[in-house]
Amino acid sequence: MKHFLAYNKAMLLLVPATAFIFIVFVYPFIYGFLWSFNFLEGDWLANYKSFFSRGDMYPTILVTLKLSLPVTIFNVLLAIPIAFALRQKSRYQKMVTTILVVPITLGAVLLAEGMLTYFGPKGWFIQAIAILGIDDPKLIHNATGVIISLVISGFPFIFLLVLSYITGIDPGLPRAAATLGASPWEQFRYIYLPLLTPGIAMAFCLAFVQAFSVYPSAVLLGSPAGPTRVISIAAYETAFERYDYSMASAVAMIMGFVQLIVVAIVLKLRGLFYRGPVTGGKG
Amino acid sequence: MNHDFTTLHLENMTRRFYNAGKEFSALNKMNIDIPRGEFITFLGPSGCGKSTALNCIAGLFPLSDGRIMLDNTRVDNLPPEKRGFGMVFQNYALFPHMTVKENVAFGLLMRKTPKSEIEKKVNVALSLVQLSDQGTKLPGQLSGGQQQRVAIARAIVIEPPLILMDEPLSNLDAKLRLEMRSEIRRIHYELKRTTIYVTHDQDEALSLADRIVVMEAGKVQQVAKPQTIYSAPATIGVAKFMGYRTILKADVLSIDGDKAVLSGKGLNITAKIMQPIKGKKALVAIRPEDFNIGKGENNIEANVEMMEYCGYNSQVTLKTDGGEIIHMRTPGVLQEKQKAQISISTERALAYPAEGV
Ligand SMILES: Nc1ncnc2c1ncn2[C@@H]1O[C@H](COP(=O)(O)OP(=O)(O)OP(=O)(O)O)[C@@H](O)[C@H]1O
Ligand SMILES: [Mg+2]
Repeated sequence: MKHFLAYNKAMLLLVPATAFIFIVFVYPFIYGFLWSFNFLEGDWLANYKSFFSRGDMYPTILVTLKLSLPVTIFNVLLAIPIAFALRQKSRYQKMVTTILVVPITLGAVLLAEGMLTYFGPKGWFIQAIAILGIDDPKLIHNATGVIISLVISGFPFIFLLVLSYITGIDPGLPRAAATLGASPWEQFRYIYLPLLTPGIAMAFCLAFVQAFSVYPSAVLLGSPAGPTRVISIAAYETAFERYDYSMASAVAMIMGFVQLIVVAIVLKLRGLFYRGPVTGGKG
Repeated sequence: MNHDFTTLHLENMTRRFYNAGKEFSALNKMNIDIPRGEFITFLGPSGCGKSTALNCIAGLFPLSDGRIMLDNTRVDNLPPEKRGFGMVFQNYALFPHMTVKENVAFGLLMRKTPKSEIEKKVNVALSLVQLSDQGTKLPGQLSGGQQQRVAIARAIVIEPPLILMDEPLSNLDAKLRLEMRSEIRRIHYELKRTTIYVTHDQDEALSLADRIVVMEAGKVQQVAKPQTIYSAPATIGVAKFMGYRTILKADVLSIDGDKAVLSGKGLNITAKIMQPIKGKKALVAIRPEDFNIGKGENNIEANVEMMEYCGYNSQVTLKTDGGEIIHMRTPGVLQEKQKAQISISTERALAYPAEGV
């Protein structure tokens, strides 16, 4: 009985956090979810039907996926070897980490402003390559611009996550593998990679969700009318230009659902791998 | 690597660490030649550099100075995977994401051994360490002692020309420890491999080794057969570590060949000189079981402070009038709080120069 009470007292500590989550997340979510259906006006699925039939709506899913998935995969694939090379504590590790934290702190809008001048027709970059006789490769106001901005803002995030996973792996394990005859590549393939996979999957999900809800750079650096008309632009327009909150809620729900599917697939795959302690010592 | 080497030469092997701007030698000019087939143990107190030495030989720590030669080939610039020495790590370093079987098979897999052969060898290795029924578990699901035995199996299954073991039995119970000890010895002789075995347990070192290397503070103190280490420690440090519990401080009265006539606190003693004594002060080291009750070559009168019964004999602590403490082990019986007459033969009282003189 005493034990039971103690347990329940501990549970009380969860109340503030639970209340907070409920107020700022669960309640608006349920509210939006209910609002996305037109219960009062006959066909309660009207918003969803409209989304999947309108040419300015349903293609945004594919447009957003086409931007966010490749960018996230690219970021992950780039972060792994670089984090691996910098896994040992060194001056370089500190230097690179510091340099990479900067874009995270700048935020998407400042980054977009910078890119607009840098890659614009009068920017240094275009001027510089013009001297070399190269034409303007058109790096802004299209999908390329959005992709570059997503790499700059998304890569550091993934890199820092992967780096922390790699440095968490007991360096005694690859050493043991080496005494058993494993080359550096085999040490990576058989020791680091399997131990990193769950962490990489997590990093992928977080980065994907971030990239999927891209908005500022798609508007500022892309061509929001066409090729980079991402789903968040569709939601914004519906809500704040056409004041159709019900429809906007439906778009937001669909957006969340697509993210959920991708995350679920990745986490399902993650379940196939070992998840546990990443040290080989006495426990 | 070359499986048919005749001698492994450690030449001035030195490893320094930098910590908080200060340099310190964890291993200082280690010089040993190890012929193929020898079972050699590194023995010494905690922190004396035993693991550091093994890691250097395996190629996990680069040397700060010196060389490692396999006959005439220099190997200290080769990475661990090119040296091919097997190693049992002090902290096991089992791969947490692989089952026991996969752990043991890893080295064979890296050597591109055919599947059927891997299966066979892994099973043999696991039965050697009495873990045949644990093959499908992950290391995290094993007890500490079981993990340690997987580490042993993983290293021996690749049949390396040189096997390095870092306190491989430290976590086993007394019975299993004895069993594994003879197993390791048997494997060593059966496969005619060279073994370097690190331990801080003198019984283990004495029973296993062809030769013992006693280390202290990164320096080799003595390299000799177990019998020699046990009965004739080269330095006072080795003597202390090998269980010479009574250390008497004494003034040198005269020196006669390999005997020194000494006078200590409330006792006079003639001892055998183990290390040239230049100064006026000396230390005498004596094992507890070398004292006898009654009169003999060197007689000592002391007060019995304490008697602890420990089975077939007793541990006795005595104090001379001058205040020297004597530790003695005897099957005889002495009365506590009373004067006792004990003696020590000159052969078994070992004299060393006093430290720092
Ligand atoms: N990476 C390191 N950096 C700095 N000092 C180190 C490092 N590794 C070991 N040392 C120091 O080197 C000395 C020897 O360490 P080592 O691990 O070789 O001891 P050991 O003889 O194996 O001891 P034990 O019996 O406790 O395992 C110790 O004083 C230790 O603190
Ligand atoms: Mg050690």
